[in-house]
Amino acid sequence: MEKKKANKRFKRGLVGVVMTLLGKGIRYAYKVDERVKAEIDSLGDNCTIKITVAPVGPSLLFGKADGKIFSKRCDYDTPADIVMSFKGVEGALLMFTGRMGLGEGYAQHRFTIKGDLYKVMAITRIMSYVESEMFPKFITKKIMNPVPKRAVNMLRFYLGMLFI
Amino acid sequence: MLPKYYEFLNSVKIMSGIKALENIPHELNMLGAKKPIILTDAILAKTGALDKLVKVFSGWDIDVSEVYTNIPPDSSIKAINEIAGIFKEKGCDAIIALGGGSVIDTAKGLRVVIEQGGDDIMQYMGLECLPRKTRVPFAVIPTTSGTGSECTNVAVIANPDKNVKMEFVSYDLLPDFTVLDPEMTKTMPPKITANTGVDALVHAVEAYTCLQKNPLSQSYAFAAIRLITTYLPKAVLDGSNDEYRLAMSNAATMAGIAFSNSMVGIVHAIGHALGGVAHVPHGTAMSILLPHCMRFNLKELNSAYGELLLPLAGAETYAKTPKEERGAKAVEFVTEFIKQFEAVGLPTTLSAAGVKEEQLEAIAETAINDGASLVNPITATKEQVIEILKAAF
Repeated sequence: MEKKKANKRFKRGLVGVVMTLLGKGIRYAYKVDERVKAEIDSLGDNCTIKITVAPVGPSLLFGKADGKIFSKRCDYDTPADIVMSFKGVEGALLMFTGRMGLGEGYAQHRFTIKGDLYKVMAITRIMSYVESEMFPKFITKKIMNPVPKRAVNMLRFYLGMLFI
Repeated sequence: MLPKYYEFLNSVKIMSGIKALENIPHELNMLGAKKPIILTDAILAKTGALDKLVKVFSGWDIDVSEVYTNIPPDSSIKAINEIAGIFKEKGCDAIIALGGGSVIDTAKGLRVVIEQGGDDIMQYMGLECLPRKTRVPFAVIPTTSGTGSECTNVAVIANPDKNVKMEFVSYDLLPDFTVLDPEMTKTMPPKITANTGVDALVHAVEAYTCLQKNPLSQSYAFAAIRLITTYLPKAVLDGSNDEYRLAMSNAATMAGIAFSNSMVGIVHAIGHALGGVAHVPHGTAMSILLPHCMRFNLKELNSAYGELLLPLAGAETYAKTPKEERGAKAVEFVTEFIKQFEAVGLPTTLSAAGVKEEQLEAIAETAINDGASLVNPITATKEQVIEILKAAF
């Protein structure tokens, strides 16, 4: 029982780490990828998006505040304009480790969304652009059709993302 | 092949057949309803469909005096919020939707607002995020055979301020029961019969092929297509025939169940955008777009479309066509099948439907933001959508 709990904690921790990287990736992509900038700008200047995992997190909040892009880890209950909540950590892990695309996750009912579904497509494109920078092509071609072109090479993206 | 994971739900009781209407009071009584609000539109109130419904309550202790007929052609958030106020003020306790997709989607939106206890449908936007509250009995009597909305967990509601159609997805949108009575669809003119019937065909084709497809939804889709290709041309020619009408009602309901559990794809994403931006009626948009979108998806879906050649064209054509050519043959069949309805006034190009070339960019922009784009096997870019629109122009 304890082993199972520890295993779940580890998985939540791992999802949390990838979420942090994803948040940094979004911020860096906003700087270097016009497509990501355009999508984030289209959401509006004060639109916040939370990605979380039920029932306790981890959670990532990103968006724009006072005209500036931001991303940060947040509490499970932090309010946001759009909340994408994974029903469990296993589904989140599949998504955050590049083993399941957003379309497939949606098809498999892995998450719920609260908020304007019209804006969600922009968010899925942002995630696709950033994931295509973060993951190697042999992974992205399994989860995206088509795979978006990279704006910068992978090494530069990781360095930029880590030091942003 | 089984998907790695899927969900399927259809909790709607289906009452199908001649004089089915008569059983509505009993069903509502069993659900504890005493004062339902009837939602319908002005045309159905005029053509006598509303009178037929009200008459079946004669002798029952159910008050059906509250009727709202002012529903716009595209269900809108304003109408829903207004009716929610009336529902509360008049002490209603159930909802009956009598009409096509717009009326049914308005009723679904109303039920959400009433059950969730708010006063604005915008508060409840989202995907599978509504907690179950005390249920408001909800009956649907479709008067068209196309939307399948009587059995879907989706409502498309227009936001006139943003010029977009918004999607609400929740199992809570499913009615308690639906009544398929041929008497209620007989007044549909041939053009509307064709228009709505092709909409059902699109639901079935997309449900069979989208990312969310599963063996149960595909079974419904497959059976619906066979009914549509057999009965739609007959129902267009002879709308007074009970058998044809009932077959099309069942086909639309089955296609609805299919897409409620598989969702729809690019045909609907662009179709919703055509409705929002250029005000093209939904069925018309579907008729124009289906062949072009199938061509767009053909490379990815050749095998799935090939399977559909059987219910589309029948066993003989299927057997005669080499396996690798079946997908293209299915697209060819669909193109010709839809084309036959030009004779009753169904436009087959966007220009004939009144779309202007300068609107294509805005339509494409809206289409790529429609949730239906997400489960299409190929994620279309704005440029690709423009190409599809140009081909359909």
